[in-house]
Amino acid sequence: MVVRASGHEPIHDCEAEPVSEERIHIDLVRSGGFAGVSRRASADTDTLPPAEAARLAELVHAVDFDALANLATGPPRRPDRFQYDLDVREGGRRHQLTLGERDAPPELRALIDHVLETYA
Amino acid sequence: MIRHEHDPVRCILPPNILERIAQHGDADQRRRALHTLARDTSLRAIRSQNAILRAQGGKEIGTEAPPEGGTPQRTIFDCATSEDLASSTVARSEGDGPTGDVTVNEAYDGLGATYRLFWDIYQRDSIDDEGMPLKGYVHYGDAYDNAFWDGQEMVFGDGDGRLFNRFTIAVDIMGHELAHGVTEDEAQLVYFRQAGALNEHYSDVAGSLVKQYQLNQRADEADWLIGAGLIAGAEDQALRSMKAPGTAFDHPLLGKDPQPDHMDRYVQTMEDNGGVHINSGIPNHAFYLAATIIGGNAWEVAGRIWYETMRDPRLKPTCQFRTYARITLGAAQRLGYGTSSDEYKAVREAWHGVGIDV
Repeated sequence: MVVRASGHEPIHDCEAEPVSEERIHIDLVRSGGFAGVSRRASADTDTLPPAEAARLAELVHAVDFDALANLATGPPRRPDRFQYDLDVREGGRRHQLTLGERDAPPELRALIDHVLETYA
Repeated sequence: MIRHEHDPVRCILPPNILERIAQHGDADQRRRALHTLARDTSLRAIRSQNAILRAQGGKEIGTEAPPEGGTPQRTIFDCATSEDLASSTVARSEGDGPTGDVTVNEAYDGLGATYRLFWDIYQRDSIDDEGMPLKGYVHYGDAYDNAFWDGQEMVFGDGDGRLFNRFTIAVDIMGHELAHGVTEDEAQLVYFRQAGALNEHYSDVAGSLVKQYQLNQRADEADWLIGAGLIAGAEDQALRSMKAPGTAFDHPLLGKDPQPDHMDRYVQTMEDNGGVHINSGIPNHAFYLAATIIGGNAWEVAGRIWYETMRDPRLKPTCQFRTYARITLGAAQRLGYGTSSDEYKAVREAWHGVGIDV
Protein backbone atom coordinates (compact mmCIF):
# COMPACT_ATOMS: atom_id res chain seq x y z
CA MET A 1 0.00 0.00 0.00
CA VAL A 2 1.29 3.40 -0.92
CA VAL A 3 0.21 6.43 1.07
CA ARG A 4 0.29 9.54 -1.06
CA ALA A 5 -0.18 13.19 -0.19
CA SER A 6 -2.72 14.50 -2.72
CA GLY A 7 -1.07 13.12 -5.82
CA HIS A 8 2.54 13.86 -4.95
CA GLU A 9 5.43 11.55 -4.13
CA PRO A 10 4.61 8.78 -1.67
CA ILE A 11 5.27 9.79 1.91
CA HIS A 12 5.36 6.25 3.16
CA ASP A 13 5.33 3.01 1.22
CA CYS A 14 4.30 0.34 3.72
CA GLU A 15 5.45 -2.60 1.63
CA ALA A 16 8.55 -1.19 -0.03
CA GLU A 17 10.84 -0.46 2.86
CA PRO A 18 14.42 -0.06 1.70
CA VAL A 19 16.18 -3.42 1.65
CA SER A 20 19.59 -4.03 3.18
CA GLU A 21 22.71 -3.89 1.08
CA GLU A 22 22.65 -7.59 0.26
CA ARG A 23 18.94 -8.20 0.06
CA ILE A 24 17.17 -8.20 -3.29
CA HIS A 25 13.42 -8.15 -3.82
CA ILE A 26 11.85 -8.43 -7.26
CA ASP A 27 8.22 -8.23 -8.38
CA LEU A 28 7.50 -9.02 -11.99
CA VAL A 29 4.42 -9.02 -14.22
CA ARG A 30 4.54 -10.26 -17.79
CA SER A 31 1.36 -9.30 -19.62
CA GLY A 32 0.18 -9.11 -23.19
CA GLY A 33 1.40 -11.55 -25.80
CA PHE A 34 -1.05 -13.21 -28.16
CA ALA A 35 -2.65 -15.02 -25.24
CA GLY A 36 -3.07 -11.81 -23.26
CA VAL A 37 -2.54 -13.70 -20.01
CA SER A 38 -0.72 -11.94 -17.17
CA ARG A 39 1.84 -13.93 -15.24
CA ARG A 40 3.19 -12.66 -11.92
CA ALA A 41 6.24 -13.67 -9.95
CA SER A 42 8.07 -12.42 -6.90
CA ALA A 43 11.36 -13.40 -5.31
CA ASP A 44 13.26 -12.23 -2.27
CA THR A 45 16.79 -13.27 -1.44
CA ASP A 46 15.90 -13.23 2.25
CA THR A 47 13.58 -16.18 1.73
CA LEU A 48 15.71 -18.20 -0.69
CA PRO A 49 18.32 -20.87 -0.08
CA PRO A 50 21.84 -19.42 -0.47
CA ALA A 51 22.57 -20.87 -3.90
CA GLU A 52 19.31 -19.58 -5.33
CA ALA A 53 19.77 -16.21 -3.68
CA ALA A 54 23.22 -15.96 -5.19
CA ARG A 55 21.89 -16.87 -8.64
CA LEU A 56 19.20 -14.20 -8.39
CA ALA A 57 21.70 -11.61 -7.21
CA GLU A 58 24.04 -12.46 -10.07
CA LEU A 59 21.27 -11.95 -12.63
CA VAL A 60 20.09 -8.69 -11.06
CA HIS A 61 23.58 -7.23 -10.84
CA ALA A 62 24.18 -7.98 -14.53
CA VAL A 63 21.44 -5.52 -15.49
CA ASP A 64 22.24 -1.82 -15.95
CA PHE A 65 18.97 -0.40 -14.65
CA ASP A 66 20.11 3.16 -15.02
CA ALA A 67 20.71 2.67 -18.73
CA LEU A 68 17.25 1.13 -19.04
CA ALA A 69 15.51 4.08 -17.44
CA ASN A 70 15.16 5.86 -20.80
CA LEU A 71 13.85 2.79 -22.61
CA ALA A 72 11.42 1.68 -19.97
CA THR A 73 8.93 4.46 -20.48
CA GLY A 74 5.73 2.51 -20.71
CA PRO A 75 3.74 -0.17 -22.50
CA PRO A 76 5.51 -1.15 -25.73
CA ARG A 77 2.45 -0.93 -27.99
CA ARG A 78 3.64 -3.60 -30.42
CA PRO A 79 1.15 -6.24 -31.62
CA ASP A 80 1.13 -9.34 -29.44
CA ARG A 81 4.54 -8.64 -27.85
CA PHE A 82 4.97 -9.14 -24.13
CA GLN A 83 4.92 -6.23 -21.72
CA TYR A 84 7.16 -6.48 -18.64
CA ASP A 85 6.49 -4.53 -15.46
CA LEU A 86 9.37 -4.85 -12.98
CA ASP A 87 9.87 -3.57 -9.47
CA VAL A 88 13.38 -4.36 -8.24
CA ARG A 89 14.81 -3.34 -4.89
CA GLU A 90 18.51 -3.92 -4.34
CA GLY A 91 21.35 -2.25 -2.56
CA GLY A 92 19.05 0.34 -1.07
CA ARG A 93 17.85 1.36 -4.53
CA ARG A 94 14.57 0.81 -6.27
CA HIS A 95 14.04 0.34 -10.01
CA GLN A 96 10.55 0.38 -11.49
CA LEU A 97 10.23 -0.14 -15.22
CA THR A 98 7.68 -0.99 -17.88
CA LEU A 99 8.99 -2.08 -21.26
CA GLY A 100 8.42 -4.44 -24.15
CA GLU A 101 10.22 -7.67 -24.90
CA ARG A 102 11.81 -6.18 -27.98
CA ASP A 103 13.47 -3.48 -25.90
CA ALA A 104 14.71 -5.80 -23.16
CA PRO A 105 18.46 -6.44 -23.46
CA PRO A 106 19.67 -10.05 -23.09
CA GLU A 107 20.71 -9.71 -19.46
CA LEU A 108 17.30 -8.35 -18.50
CA ARG A 109 15.62 -11.14 -20.45
CA ALA A 110 17.75 -13.65 -18.59
CA LEU A 111 16.61 -12.23 -15.25
CA ILE A 112 12.94 -12.09 -16.32
CA ASP A 113 12.90 -15.60 -17.78
CA HIS A 114 14.62 -17.00 -14.69
CA VAL A 115 12.17 -15.36 -12.30
CA LEU A 116 9.15 -16.44 -14.35
CA GLU A 117 10.34 -20.00 -14.75
CA THR A 118 11.30 -20.42 -11.12
CA TYR A 119 8.87 -18.32 -9.10
CA ALA A 120 5.69 -17.85 -11.15
CA MET B 1 -15.05 13.44 -82.81
CA ILE B 2 -15.14 10.18 -80.95
CA ARG B 3 -18.44 8.36 -80.86
CA HIS B 4 -19.15 5.33 -78.78
CA GLU B 5 -22.33 3.30 -78.95
CA HIS B 6 -21.69 1.64 -75.60
CA ASP B 7 -20.88 2.87 -72.12
CA PRO B 8 -17.31 4.20 -72.04
CA VAL B 9 -16.77 2.73 -68.60
CA ARG B 10 -16.77 -0.73 -70.18
CA CYS B 11 -13.84 0.37 -72.34
CA ILE B 12 -11.97 2.14 -69.59
CA LEU B 13 -10.66 4.95 -71.73
CA PRO B 14 -7.52 6.51 -70.39
CA PRO B 15 -8.03 9.76 -68.47
CA ASN B 16 -6.47 12.02 -71.10
CA ILE B 17 -8.97 10.88 -73.74
CA LEU B 18 -11.82 11.19 -71.29
CA GLU B 19 -10.71 14.74 -70.56
CA ARG B 20 -10.69 15.61 -74.24
CA ILE B 21 -14.21 14.21 -74.58
CA ALA B 22 -15.25 16.20 -71.54
CA GLN B 23 -13.94 19.35 -73.23
CA HIS B 24 -14.90 18.76 -76.86
CA GLY B 25 -17.60 16.08 -77.04
CA ASP B 26 -21.32 16.59 -77.52
CA ALA B 27 -23.53 16.94 -74.44
CA ASP B 28 -24.13 13.25 -74.03
CA GLN B 29 -20.44 12.34 -74.46
CA ARG B 30 -19.36 15.05 -72.07
CA ARG B 31 -21.80 13.81 -69.45
CA ARG B 32 -20.55 10.26 -69.74
CA ALA B 33 -16.89 11.24 -69.79
CA LEU B 34 -17.23 13.49 -66.77
CA HIS B 35 -19.13 10.75 -65.00
CA THR B 36 -16.35 8.31 -65.72
CA LEU B 37 -13.56 10.64 -64.74
CA ALA B 38 -15.30 11.49 -61.52
CA ARG B 39 -15.66 7.84 -60.77
CA ASP B 40 -11.86 7.29 -60.67
CA THR B 41 -10.86 4.37 -62.80
CA SER B 42 -8.40 2.92 -60.32
CA LEU B 43 -8.91 -0.78 -59.78
CA ARG B 44 -9.45 -0.26 -56.09
CA ALA B 45 -12.32 2.16 -56.67
CA ILE B 46 -13.88 -0.17 -59.20
CA ARG B 47 -13.65 -3.03 -56.76
CA SER B 48 -15.35 -1.06 -54.03
CA GLN B 49 -17.95 0.07 -56.52
CA ASN B 50 -18.50 -3.54 -57.44
CA ALA B 51 -18.94 -4.43 -53.82
CA ILE B 52 -21.65 -1.81 -53.56
CA LEU B 53 -23.31 -2.88 -56.78
CA ARG B 54 -23.23 -6.52 -55.76
CA ALA B 55 -24.95 -5.63 -52.53
CA GLN B 56 -27.64 -3.81 -54.46
CA GLY B 57 -28.00 -6.61 -56.99
CA GLY B 58 -26.70 -4.38 -59.77
CA LYS B 59 -24.41 -5.23 -62.64
CA GLU B 60 -20.75 -4.91 -61.93
CA ILE B 61 -18.38 -2.60 -63.75
CA GLY B 62 -16.09 -4.50 -66.06
CA THR B 63 -12.46 -3.76 -66.64
CA GLU B 64 -10.20 -4.45 -69.58
CA ALA B 65 -7.32 -5.82 -67.56
CA PRO B 66 -8.10 -8.60 -65.08
CA PRO B 67 -7.24 -7.71 -61.51
CA GLU B 68 -3.71 -8.67 -60.58
CA GLY B 69 -2.98 -10.87 -57.65
CA GLY B 70 -4.72 -13.98 -56.45
CA THR B 71 -1.64 -15.94 -55.51
CA PRO B 72 0.15 -15.74 -52.18
CA GLN B 73 3.94 -15.62 -52.03
CA ARG B 74 4.74 -17.57 -48.90
CA THR B 75 8.08 -18.37 -47.35
CA ILE B 76 8.37 -20.20 -44.05
CA PHE B 77 11.64 -19.81 -42.14
CA ASP B 78 12.94 -22.10 -39.40
CA CYS B 79 14.55 -20.20 -36.52
CA ALA B 80 15.68 -23.42 -34.82
CA THR B 81 14.97 -21.92 -31.35
CA SER B 82 16.98 -18.76 -32.00
CA GLU B 83 15.43 -15.31 -31.58
CA ASP B 84 17.62 -13.95 -34.34
CA LEU B 85 15.44 -13.97 -37.47
CA ALA B 86 18.50 -13.40 -39.64
CA SER B 87 19.91 -16.77 -38.59
CA SER B 88 16.88 -18.69 -39.83
CA THR B 89 16.83 -21.02 -42.83
CA VAL B 90 14.17 -21.39 -45.51
CA ALA B 91 11.97 -24.34 -44.64
CA ARG B 92 9.26 -24.07 -47.28
CA SER B 93 8.73 -21.78 -50.26
CA GLU B 94 5.60 -21.00 -52.24
CA GLY B 95 4.55 -24.00 -54.24
CA ASP B 96 6.67 -26.50 -52.30
CA GLY B 97 4.92 -29.58 -50.99
CA PRO B 98 4.55 -30.36 -47.28
CA THR B 99 7.75 -30.98 -45.33
CA GLY B 100 8.22 -33.33 -42.41
CA ASP B 101 7.76 -30.45 -39.96
CA VAL B 102 4.14 -30.06 -38.89
CA THR B 103 4.77 -26.52 -37.60
CA VAL B 104 6.17 -25.43 -40.96
CA ASN B 105 3.20 -26.95 -42.75
CA GLU B 106 0.65 -25.38 -40.40
CA ALA B 107 2.22 -21.95 -40.88
CA TYR B 108 2.28 -22.41 -44.67
CA ASP B 109 -1.34 -23.57 -44.76
CA GLY B 110 -2.54 -20.96 -42.26
CA LEU B 111 -1.01 -18.06 -44.16
CA GLY B 112 -2.48 -19.45 -47.35
CA ALA B 113 -5.94 -19.77 -45.82
CA THR B 114 -5.75 -16.18 -44.60
CA TYR B 115 -4.60 -14.94 -47.98
CA ARG B 116 -7.51 -16.77 -49.60
CA LEU B 117 -10.15 -15.26 -47.34
CA PHE B 118 -8.94 -11.74 -48.04
CA TRP B 119 -8.54 -12.35 -51.79
CA ASP B 120 -11.66 -14.43 -52.49
CA ILE B 121 -14.06 -12.38 -50.40
CA TYR B 122 -12.56 -8.89 -50.15
CA GLN B 123 -10.36 -8.82 -53.28
CA ARG B 124 -7.44 -7.85 -51.10
CA ASP B 125 -4.08 -8.98 -52.46
CA SER B 126 -2.13 -9.83 -49.31
CA ILE B 127 -1.36 -7.66 -46.30
CA ASP B 128 -0.79 -4.43 -48.23
CA ASP B 129 -3.23 -5.15 -51.05
CA GLU B 130 -0.25 -5.16 -53.39
CA GLY B 131 0.87 -8.76 -53.11
CA MET B 132 3.23 -8.34 -50.17
CA PRO B 133 5.16 -11.59 -49.66
CA LEU B 134 4.03 -13.51 -46.59
CA LYS B 135 6.93 -14.46 -44.37
CA GLY B 136 6.38 -16.78 -41.42
CA TYR B 137 9.09 -17.60 -38.90
CA VAL B 138 8.59 -20.75 -36.85
CA HIS B 139 10.47 -22.40 -33.98
CA TYR B 140 11.25 -18.89 -32.75
CA GLY B 141 13.00 -18.85 -29.40
CA ASP B 142 13.35 -21.53 -26.77
CA ALA B 143 9.94 -22.76 -25.54
CA TYR B 144 8.60 -19.35 -26.52
CA ASP B 145 4.99 -18.92 -25.40
CA ASN B 146 3.91 -16.46 -28.05
CA ALA B 147 3.33 -15.39 -31.64
CA PHE B 148 3.45 -11.89 -33.11
CA TRP B 149 3.52 -9.60 -36.13
CA ASP B 150 6.58 -7.36 -36.12
CA GLY B 151 5.72 -5.01 -38.97
CA GLN B 152 7.16 -7.18 -41.72
CA GLU B 153 6.74 -10.81 -40.82
CA MET B 154 4.82 -13.20 -38.60
CA VAL B 155 6.67 -15.06 -35.88
CA PHE B 156 5.57 -18.19 -34.03
CA GLY B 157 6.95 -19.87 -30.92
CA ASP B 158 6.73 -23.53 -30.03
CA GLY B 159 5.23 -22.97 -26.60
CA ASP B 160 6.75 -24.39 -23.45
CA GLY B 161 4.59 -27.50 -23.49
CA ARG B 162 3.49 -26.86 -19.93
CA LEU B 163 1.24 -23.86 -20.54
CA PHE B 164 1.04 -23.68 -24.30
CA ASN B 165 1.42 -25.87 -27.33
CA ARG B 166 2.91 -24.60 -30.58
CA PHE B 167 1.42 -21.33 -31.81
CA THR B 168 0.64 -22.65 -35.27
CA ILE B 169 -1.81 -25.16 -33.90
CA ALA B 170 -4.91 -23.10 -34.73
CA VAL B 171 -5.47 -21.46 -38.12
CA ASP B 172 -7.04 -18.42 -36.49
CA ILE B 173 -3.69 -17.60 -34.88
CA MET B 174 -2.10 -17.18 -38.29
CA GLY B 175 -5.10 -15.17 -39.43
CA HIS B 176 -4.84 -13.00 -36.34
CA GLU B 177 -1.17 -12.17 -36.91
CA LEU B 178 -1.53 -11.50 -40.63
CA ALA B 179 -4.50 -9.22 -39.90
CA HIS B 180 -2.28 -7.07 -37.67
CA GLY B 181 -0.44 -6.29 -40.88
CA VAL B 182 -3.69 -5.40 -42.62
CA THR B 183 -4.68 -3.11 -39.76
CA GLU B 184 -1.25 -1.49 -39.83
CA ASP B 185 -1.67 -0.92 -43.58
CA GLU B 186 -5.22 0.43 -43.45
CA ALA B 187 -5.97 2.04 -40.12
CA GLN B 188 -2.81 2.19 -37.98
CA LEU B 189 -4.87 1.72 -34.82
CA VAL B 190 -2.57 2.57 -31.92
CA TYR B 191 -1.89 -0.52 -29.83
CA PHE B 192 -3.04 0.96 -26.55
CA ARG B 193 -6.33 0.99 -24.62
CA GLN B 194 -9.53 1.17 -26.71
CA ALA B 195 -7.83 1.77 -30.07
CA GLY B 196 -5.53 -1.14 -29.31
CA ALA B 197 -8.46 -3.32 -28.29
CA LEU B 198 -10.01 -2.52 -31.68
CA ASN B 199 -6.73 -3.49 -33.32
CA GLU B 200 -6.84 -6.77 -31.42
CA HIS B 201 -10.52 -7.17 -32.21
CA TYR B 202 -10.06 -7.00 -35.95
CA SER B 203 -7.31 -9.60 -35.74
CA ASP B 204 -9.69 -11.93 -33.90
CA VAL B 205 -12.43 -11.20 -36.45
CA ALA B 206 -10.07 -12.05 -39.28
CA GLY B 207 -8.77 -15.14 -37.49
CA SER B 208 -12.24 -16.46 -36.82
CA LEU B 209 -13.40 -15.75 -40.38
CA VAL B 210 -10.39 -17.59 -41.81
CA LYS B 211 -11.38 -20.63 -39.79
CA GLN B 212 -15.07 -20.35 -40.66
CA TYR B 213 -14.30 -19.87 -44.36
CA GLN B 214 -11.96 -22.85 -44.32
CA LEU B 215 -14.66 -25.00 -42.72
CA ASN B 216 -17.44 -23.40 -44.79
CA GLN B 217 -19.47 -22.73 -41.67
CA ARG B 218 -22.47 -20.51 -41.16
CA ALA B 219 -22.28 -18.05 -38.30
CA ASP B 220 -24.51 -20.26 -36.17
CA GLU B 221 -22.33 -23.32 -36.87
CA ALA B 222 -19.00 -21.73 -35.92
CA ASP B 223 -17.49 -22.11 -32.45
CA TRP B 224 -16.24 -18.51 -32.45
CA LEU B 225 -13.18 -19.57 -30.46
CA ILE B 226 -9.70 -18.11 -30.86
CA GLY B 227 -6.72 -20.33 -30.11
CA ALA B 228 -8.60 -23.57 -29.54
CA GLY B 229 -6.15 -26.32 -28.70
CA LEU B 230 -3.36 -23.95 -27.73
CA ILE B 231 -3.45 -24.54 -23.97
CA ALA B 232 -1.31 -27.54 -23.09
CA GLY B 233 -3.26 -30.29 -21.37
CA ALA B 234 -6.53 -28.42 -21.94
CA GLU B 235 -6.89 -28.61 -25.67
CA ASP B 236 -10.67 -28.53 -25.39
CA GLN B 237 -10.34 -24.96 -24.10
CA ALA B 238 -9.42 -21.83 -26.06
CA LEU B 239 -7.88 -18.44 -25.40
CA ARG B 240 -10.85 -16.29 -26.32
CA SER B 241 -14.49 -16.68 -27.20
CA MET B 242 -16.27 -14.13 -29.34
CA LYS B 243 -19.56 -15.82 -28.59
CA ALA B 244 -19.08 -15.84 -24.80
CA PRO B 245 -16.14 -13.68 -23.71
CA GLY B 246 -14.92 -14.69 -20.27
CA THR B 247 -15.62 -18.40 -20.71
CA ALA B 248 -12.86 -19.57 -23.05
CA PHE B 249 -10.55 -20.98 -20.38
CA ASP B 250 -10.40 -21.73 -16.68
CA HIS B 251 -7.02 -23.17 -15.85
CA PRO B 252 -5.01 -23.77 -12.66
CA LEU B 253 -1.92 -21.96 -13.99
CA LEU B 254 -3.41 -19.45 -16.41
CA GLY B 255 -6.38 -18.50 -14.28
CA LYS B 256 -9.73 -17.59 -15.77
CA ASP B 257 -10.52 -15.91 -19.09
CA PRO B 258 -10.52 -12.19 -18.13
CA GLN B 259 -12.49 -10.86 -21.09
CA PRO B 260 -15.62 -8.73 -20.60
CA ASP B 261 -18.58 -9.04 -22.95
CA HIS B 262 -20.08 -5.64 -22.20
CA MET B 263 -18.96 -2.05 -21.62
CA ASP B 264 -20.26 -2.26 -18.05
CA ARG B 265 -17.39 -4.65 -17.38
CA TYR B 266 -14.67 -2.75 -19.29
CA VAL B 267 -11.33 -3.44 -17.61
CA GLN B 268 -9.15 -0.48 -16.67
CA THR B 269 -5.58 -1.65 -16.51
CA MET B 270 -2.10 -0.61 -17.56
CA GLU B 271 -1.07 -4.19 -18.15
CA ASP B 272 -1.27 -5.60 -21.64
CA ASN B 273 -0.88 -2.20 -23.26
CA GLY B 274 -3.96 -0.99 -21.45
CA GLY B 275 -5.85 -4.28 -21.72
CA VAL B 276 -5.93 -4.67 -25.50
CA HIS B 277 -6.39 -8.47 -25.38
CA ILE B 278 -8.92 -8.12 -22.57
CA ASN B 279 -11.30 -5.43 -23.75
CA SER B 280 -11.28 -6.74 -27.32
CA GLY B 281 -13.94 -9.09 -25.94
CA ILE B 282 -16.49 -6.28 -26.17
CA PRO B 283 -16.25 -5.54 -29.92
CA ASN B 284 -15.62 -9.25 -30.53
CA HIS B 285 -18.98 -10.02 -29.00
CA ALA B 286 -20.62 -7.27 -31.05
CA PHE B 287 -19.30 -8.82 -34.24
CA TYR B 288 -20.56 -12.25 -33.17
CA LEU B 289 -24.00 -10.76 -32.47
CA ALA B 290 -24.12 -8.92 -35.79
CA ALA B 291 -23.07 -12.00 -37.75
CA THR B 292 -25.52 -14.33 -36.04
CA ILE B 293 -28.45 -11.91 -36.19
CA ILE B 294 -27.82 -11.40 -39.93
CA GLY B 295 -27.34 -15.12 -40.47
CA GLY B 296 -25.59 -16.98 -43.25
CA ASN B 297 -21.81 -16.89 -43.57
CA ALA B 298 -20.22 -14.35 -41.24
CA TRP B 299 -17.63 -13.30 -43.84
CA GLU B 300 -20.29 -12.20 -46.37
CA VAL B 301 -22.14 -9.32 -44.76
CA ALA B 302 -20.80 -8.70 -41.26
CA GLY B 303 -17.24 -9.43 -42.39
CA ARG B 304 -17.64 -7.14 -45.37
CA ILE B 305 -18.99 -4.32 -43.23
CA TRP B 306 -16.10 -4.71 -40.81
CA TYR B 307 -13.53 -4.81 -43.61
CA GLU B 308 -14.94 -1.63 -45.12
CA THR B 309 -14.80 -0.11 -41.66
CA MET B 310 -11.06 -0.80 -41.43
CA ARG B 311 -10.61 0.97 -44.76
CA ASP B 312 -12.73 3.98 -43.88
CA PRO B 313 -10.65 7.20 -43.78
CA ARG B 314 -12.72 8.30 -40.80
CA LEU B 315 -11.19 5.46 -38.77
CA LYS B 316 -8.39 7.26 -36.96
CA PRO B 317 -5.44 5.66 -35.16
CA THR B 318 -6.85 6.65 -31.76
CA CYS B 319 -10.42 5.55 -32.50
CA GLN B 320 -12.55 4.61 -29.52
CA PHE B 321 -15.26 1.91 -29.41
CA ARG B 322 -18.20 4.24 -29.89
CA THR B 323 -16.78 5.95 -32.96
CA TYR B 324 -15.82 2.57 -34.41
CA ALA B 325 -19.40 1.42 -33.94
CA ARG B 326 -20.67 4.50 -35.78
CA ILE B 327 -18.25 3.83 -38.61
CA THR B 328 -19.51 0.25 -38.95
CA LEU B 329 -23.00 1.68 -39.43
CA GLY B 330 -21.68 4.07 -42.04
CA ALA B 331 -19.90 1.23 -43.77
CA ALA B 332 -23.08 -0.81 -43.81
CA GLN B 333 -24.90 2.06 -45.50
CA ARG B 334 -22.14 2.48 -48.07
CA LEU B 335 -22.43 -1.19 -48.91
CA GLY B 336 -26.10 -0.69 -49.62
CA TYR B 337 -27.62 -1.64 -46.27
CA GLY B 338 -29.69 1.44 -45.52
CA THR B 339 -30.98 2.42 -42.12
CA SER B 340 -34.21 0.45 -42.59
CA SER B 341 -32.44 -2.72 -43.74
CA ASP B 342 -32.23 -5.83 -41.60
CA GLU B 343 -28.46 -5.77 -41.86
CA TYR B 344 -28.10 -2.20 -40.60
CA LYS B 345 -30.46 -2.89 -37.73
CA ALA B 346 -28.52 -6.04 -36.85
CA VAL B 347 -25.28 -4.11 -36.55
CA ARG B 348 -26.95 -1.47 -34.41
CA GLU B 349 -28.54 -4.09 -32.20
CA ALA B 350 -25.20 -5.86 -31.87
CA TRP B 351 -23.52 -2.74 -30.51
CA HIS B 352 -26.43 -2.15 -28.15
CA GLY B 353 -25.94 -5.71 -26.97
CA VAL B 354 -22.49 -4.84 -25.66
CA GLY B 355 -23.57 -1.55 -24.14
CA ILE B 356 -22.56 0.84 -26.93
CA ASP B 357 -25.49 3.01 -27.96
CA VAL B 358 -25.33 4.11 -31.57
